[in-house]
Amino acid sequence: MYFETFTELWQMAGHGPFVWSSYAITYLVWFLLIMVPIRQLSRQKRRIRARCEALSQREVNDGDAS
Amino acid sequence: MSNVLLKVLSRQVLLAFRRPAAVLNPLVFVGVVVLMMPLGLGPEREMLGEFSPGLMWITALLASLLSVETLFRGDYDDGTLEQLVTSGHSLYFASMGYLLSHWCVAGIPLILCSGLFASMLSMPSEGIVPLMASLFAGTLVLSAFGTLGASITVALRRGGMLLSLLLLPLEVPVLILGAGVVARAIAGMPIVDLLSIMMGLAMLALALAPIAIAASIRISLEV
Amino acid sequence: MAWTWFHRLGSPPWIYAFAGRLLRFLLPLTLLLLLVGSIWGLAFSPPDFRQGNSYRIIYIHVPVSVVSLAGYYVMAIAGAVSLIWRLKVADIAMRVAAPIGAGLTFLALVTGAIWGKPTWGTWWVWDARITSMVVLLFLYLGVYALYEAYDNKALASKACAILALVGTVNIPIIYKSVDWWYSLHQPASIKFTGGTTIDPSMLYPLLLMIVAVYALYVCLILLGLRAALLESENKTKWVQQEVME
Repeated sequence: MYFETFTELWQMAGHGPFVWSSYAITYLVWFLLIMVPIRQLSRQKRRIRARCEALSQREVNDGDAS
Repeated sequence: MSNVLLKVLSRQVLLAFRRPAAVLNPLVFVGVVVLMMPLGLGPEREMLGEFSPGLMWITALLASLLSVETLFRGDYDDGTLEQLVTSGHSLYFASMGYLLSHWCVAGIPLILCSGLFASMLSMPSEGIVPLMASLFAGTLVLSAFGTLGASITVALRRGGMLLSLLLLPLEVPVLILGAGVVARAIAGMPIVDLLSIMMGLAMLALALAPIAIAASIRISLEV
Repeated sequence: MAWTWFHRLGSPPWIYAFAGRLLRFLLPLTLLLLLVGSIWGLAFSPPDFRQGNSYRIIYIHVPVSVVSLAGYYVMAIAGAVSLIWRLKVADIAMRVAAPIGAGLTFLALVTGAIWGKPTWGTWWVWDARITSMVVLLFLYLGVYALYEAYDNKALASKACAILALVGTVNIPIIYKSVDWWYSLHQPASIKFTGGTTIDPSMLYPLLLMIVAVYALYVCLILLGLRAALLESENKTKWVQQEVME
């Protein structure tokens, strides 16, 4: 560890805002880049599942009717 | 094979000269932009002269963007393009014909008038002939990229802004080299090496671009 | 023998399942590598002699720059594969690679600008690398914009593949010319890592971060591929089976 205390780590001899903002923005963008496709996938799955169930429900109803 | 090249080339040039606006509009555009420069930057001759290589080249880039937008539009709309593709003639050479015709209609007049515009921007006299030489090679590349961009976007409804976004990043080397040639000539340095590189790029573009243009025409016709 | 492997690669259900299996261990591994690399670079490597602590941004800036450039070639190769062999999966991979690459290029520019402030005093410097990155960003955005402009998505992919390939041929030319342009206008050289050889204590975390960001890129492509495949194949039987499990 090249810093004595956490305060020193935070401040980085005056360069703290630059280093931490870079890392923060980067991790934020990475987080978004990861979460967007994951979210899209689960939403797609939900949509397809709902449609399948609606279809099979209709088939059951048709079966009853005929 | 090269028959279709000459046929397309002569047809396009003939059409353009029947409507003088096709040749004059880009030149008027350059003139207007040249007018804007001192209005925006100040009339001080030395400063303008210092910036004139870059300013002229940026203007050339923008002018080529505008003149290329309608390159395929007419032939696309009335079915001529489709006839060309299904005719069995080499689409590669036809594309080269379109490319060269754009250069003849938009590039050559610009090269010829560039001396006038450059003087209006107080370009030192040592820069004027190198400017025309750099434009000779550079406008070939600009026509290549422009024709490619036009063929990709001709089927799209609002292709104008997209065209600029697509083409300008690709044309960065031309701008850098072209302005560089003129700046070096004004500074008294030799420019043959840079001009050769530009001509090399122009030949490369002339040989390769029609491949991509032909493929893009086929894509646009399927839309 | 080789062809069955190749054609399996082109089969959506196989790729979907394979990507899922791969991600299950690759994604946690990537996050681990990123975390370890970041902490190593932030706290466990020595401050730079000239730049002090702000150089630590290098552990983000260099990896994302390298991967964003490589990503353009990935996108172009995917486009070429889709054009030549008409593989739908390659199509989708190209489409997915564009926003990922743009995002990484954007990060490279932002971290570069933030790094520039303590180092050179200004937020923005038109040096060769930053300028080339801006051009790269526009190349990515161009591919994305072209895809969105076409209504017919099958044709959109073909057009984007052509554009990406044209860009690929141009990128070396653009880089060379921007390099030369910069040397014209800045006779004094301000180099990031030129001159002094980089110390191993700084090199190793940098290499780790580069590997980690490459792994992140692979994960992002796989994630995007799965989402896009499910969406575009949503009416097929394999998707319905997959979803109902």
